[in-house]
Order: sequence, then structure tokens, then C-alpha cells
Amino acid sequence: MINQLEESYVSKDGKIIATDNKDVKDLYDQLTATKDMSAHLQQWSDDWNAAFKADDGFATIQCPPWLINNIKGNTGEDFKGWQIADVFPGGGGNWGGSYLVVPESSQNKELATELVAWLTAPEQQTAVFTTASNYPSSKKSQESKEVSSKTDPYLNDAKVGEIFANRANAYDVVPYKGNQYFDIQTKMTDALNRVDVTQEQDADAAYKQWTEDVKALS
Amino acid sequence: MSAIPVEPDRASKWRTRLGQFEWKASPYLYVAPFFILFAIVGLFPLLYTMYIATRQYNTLTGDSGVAICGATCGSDTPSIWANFQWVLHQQSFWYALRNSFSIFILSSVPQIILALFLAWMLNANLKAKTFWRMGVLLPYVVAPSAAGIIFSQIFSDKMGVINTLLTNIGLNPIAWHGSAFWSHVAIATIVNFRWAGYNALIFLAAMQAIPNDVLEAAVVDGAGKWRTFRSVILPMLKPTLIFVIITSTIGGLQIFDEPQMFHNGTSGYGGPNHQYLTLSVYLWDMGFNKVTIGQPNMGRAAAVAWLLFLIIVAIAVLNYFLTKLMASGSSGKISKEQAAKFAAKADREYELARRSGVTARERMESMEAMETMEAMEGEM
Repeated sequence: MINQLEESYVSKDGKIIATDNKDVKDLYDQLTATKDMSAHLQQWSDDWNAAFKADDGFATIQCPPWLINNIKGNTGEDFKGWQIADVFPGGGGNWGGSYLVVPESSQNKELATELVAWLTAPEQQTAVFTTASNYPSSKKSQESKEVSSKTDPYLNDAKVGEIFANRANAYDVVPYKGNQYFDIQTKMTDALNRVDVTQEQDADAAYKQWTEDVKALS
Repeated sequence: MSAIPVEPDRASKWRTRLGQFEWKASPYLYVAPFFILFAIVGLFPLLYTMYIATRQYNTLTGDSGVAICGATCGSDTPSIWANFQWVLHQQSFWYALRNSFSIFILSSVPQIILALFLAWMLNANLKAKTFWRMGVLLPYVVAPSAAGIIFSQIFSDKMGVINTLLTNIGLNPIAWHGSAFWSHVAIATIVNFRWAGYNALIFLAAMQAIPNDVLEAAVVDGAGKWRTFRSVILPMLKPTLIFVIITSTIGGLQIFDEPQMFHNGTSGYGGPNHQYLTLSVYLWDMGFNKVTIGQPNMGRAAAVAWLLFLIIVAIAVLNYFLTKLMASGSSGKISKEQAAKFAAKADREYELARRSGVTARERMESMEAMETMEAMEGEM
């Protein structure tokens, strides 16, 4: 949800506005408002991986298209029970995607550029989505027949092509992420983990410690 | 040969001097390659790190002037100690220091006691000695990262083996990753698993070097097993104990692999509240992991590195003196005056013996007897 804000932690002229930004505090309060609905697991930890299969794991998880592979891997290919719903708080989210870079000092610049162009071509993006569920970023690929009509048997034949297209189209912000963005984001994740996973602080104390951590970053 | 000494001619004089020079200088030349290599690979980086610690240095953009402390100290004046000031103002640094010390003590003390015990056991007359001795070394062969990953899963908060057992028995699960103390216990366990066997073999080698007649004398004097261990074996192990304790100190304060592997999930390294952040992980994270353009992170990491170095030297020296004090056995302390008296007596005996030969000892004893009689008469 932090990616729905245009200037979240760092303003466009380089100043750190994280601790004064009311929108950030609102999102924080929203996330720490309830404790009972959380499974208290840290994402990507061993406990989190094991909880997919456990009887007392968790029921729902927010699911970018590529997470379907993780769900399949952690729960097992034979499991029949996962479904996907076409909702997201605030409309849609975006973690930023991946980038391919050809360095100036490369000795095979032309070939490398050709490869990059091929890898990101709409046809290849469509093929990746149909096999591995990574949603394409090229408009042409998104509108192609194979993508928009794909259904996933693992998710009870849900119309994943349509669902992901709806969520992608609901998102229209280009967030600015300045120099210190990722450091501040890590500290925010720490604060949320302190409240939710290790449960050693309440929401206010964790937020206070977060503001001090952000100040100490410079 | 000729009885008249012959003046050596100039060529052979030069040759003799060259021969003498070669005889005196060759040991140094033989050791030189190691020191040249060390100077390039070890000494120069050490000094260059000190230089970087005084500068604003970013991992990607490089050097950019003398260090500045910035908003943390509230000052923008360049100073060569600015990076050190910045580091000392960081809460994370003090947490890392606390964690490093805690893990060091929790890992070194039980480990050395366990190693001594294992060595004592292995020293006894066992069947298939080599098998037991090699078996004790097997945990050392496991790569630290692999051991870290596996133990981290065993110590998982919700689904790990240990917590599942505890909840099945009916006790509360332990927050291995959530609580600072228990995370230190977990990491110390991983470290002890690896190093106890290695240190046990070092102690075993030293124990086997103790001459048998000393141990037999102890048996003849009526010493039981524990008394022999405490008063005979342990003092003779003193040099080995010093070596093991110092290497344990250096390694324990620098622990990196195990805490890094212990971390899993989305939080920063060391847990969401610096539960198990050690100085080495803090250094690495700041200097090489979280590289932001515009932040002089490498200079600050270099300052942490030098502070860690000074701390390790201080603790190692302290440990050295403590070990000398503790392992001196039951010989008791001899005061300086007593030592001087003994030395004076030995000198007197030597002088008498030199002058008067065999009868010196008898003369000495009679002189002493007269002295004690005079003292007794004086008291009466």
C-alpha cells in the first residue's frame, strides 16, 4: 500500500519526509489496528514456508501473480483448496518490477541489447505468463488473447488473466523512491514485525522507535 | 699447519665477511616471503581501513573529503573522528556490542569446559580410540553456513523441532528469534557444536604431552581423579589454555556466519529489534549490503571495523592475564621479599661452594643452626 503514495518516505526534492508524512502514519495505523486476524509470521521465514502446509497456518495472503509459484511450491502441487479473489485495499499495488541493464563497459553491447529486447518483447512476456504466472508489463502482451483468457487449474480454474488485468488497471500512481527509501522501508518492516511477529512492543512504541531509527539513518 | 699466523689476503677476508653475513641474515630472508605477502594483503588493508575511517567514503562513489558526522551529532564540521562519533551515537552499534559480548560469553565458557571434559574422556583408555577422536571432529567439517541454516530451522519459533517438542510436553514455546537472550543461546549452541570438538583435540594433544611420572607421582601422593585434574593437569595445560582462550575470544567477538544465517524473513539483519545483531553483521550490512548513493557508509563501516579490532585486542589481553592468574595451580603466591630471600640464600650458598668446595653445605647448615639458636635465646 506504500506504493500507492506518490511521495511516501522521500520527497521529490530529496528530503526525508517519512516521519512527518500523515499518509504513512495512516497506513501504519491501518495495519496495526487488529491483532487477531494475523498469523504472526514473518514473510519468507522458515515458519512462513512451513505454515502453507500446516493445519493451523493461515487462510489468506495477498498474492502478486508470481507468488502463485511460491504457494504451489510450499503447499504441494496436489493441494486443492486455494482460490484467488479480485480485491486489493486501495485498488491495486505494484512492487516495482525487475530491470535488465546493459553496462556501458560491456564488450558485446549490441548483442546484449538484442537479448534484452528479445526477453522483454510482448511475445516472450505472454509465454512467461502462460507458463509461470508472472504478469506481463507490456500493454500489448496484457491485451493479447492468451493472457486475458488464461485460467489456472491450481486455483480452481479462476480467470487469473482477467483478475490480474483488473488489479493492474486499478493502479495509476508512479511512486517516487529516493535515496534512503529502502533503508527506511526496512526499518518500517522491522517496526511492523516488532508489533506483529515478535509482539514485543505495542503499535505506539514501535512507531516511536521507527521515527528514531529514521533520524539515525543520516 | 704453519706456526706463524698468516695475514689473510683481501679476497678471503671479503669471503669470510660475506659468509658471516649470510649466516646471520638467512633466517630473516627465509621468513621474508610470508611477511611481504602479509604486508601486501594484511597490513596495507589494515592501514587503509584506518584512512577510510577518517573520510567520507561511499562504497560506490568513493572518497569525498574528510568525514562529517551529520544530523546524528548535530554538526557538519569535517573532522577525522567524525565517523567514530557517528558510530558511537548509533543505538544499533551499542546493541551489536551487547549482542557480541553476550554471544561470546555464552559460547566460549561452556565450549571450553566441554572441550576440557571431552579431552579428559578421550585421554582415558578407550577402545577404538581413533574412531572417537575423529568423531569428535566431525561437526567441525560441516560448513558454518550449512549448520546455521539447519539449526535456524530447528530453532524456528512456531514450527521448529524444539518448540514443537516443548508444546507437546505442555510447556510454553521459547521465542528463539524473538527474544534477545534465547537467540544468543541458540547461536551459541551452533558455535559450540562446531568448535567444541576442535578445541577438545587441541587439549587432548596437550594432555598427552604431560609426562607420565608427574601423573604417577600424583597417584602416589594419594590424589583422586578430580584433584589430579585440578592441580596437576590443568596447570600444565596453561599455555594451551591461553592459546584456546585467545583464539576463542578473537573468533567469538567476530561471529558472522551464524547470526547471518539465523536471520530469515523480511526484517533487517539481526532481528526486528537488534536481537542477534553482532558487530561483524552490523559492519557488513552497513558497508556492503545497504549501499545508498550519498551516504558515506563505507567510512562508517571502517570506523566500526577499527573499534571492533581495539575491543578484541583489549579483551584478548585481559583474558591472557586472567588465564595466567587462574591456571597457576595451588602453588600459592610468593611475595617479593620471600623471593628475594630465596635468591639471596641461593647466592650465598653458591659463593661458599665456590670458595670452600664440598664442605660448604655443612658449614652453611651449622651457621643456620647457630642463627636459630641465637634467635630462640633472644626470645627467651
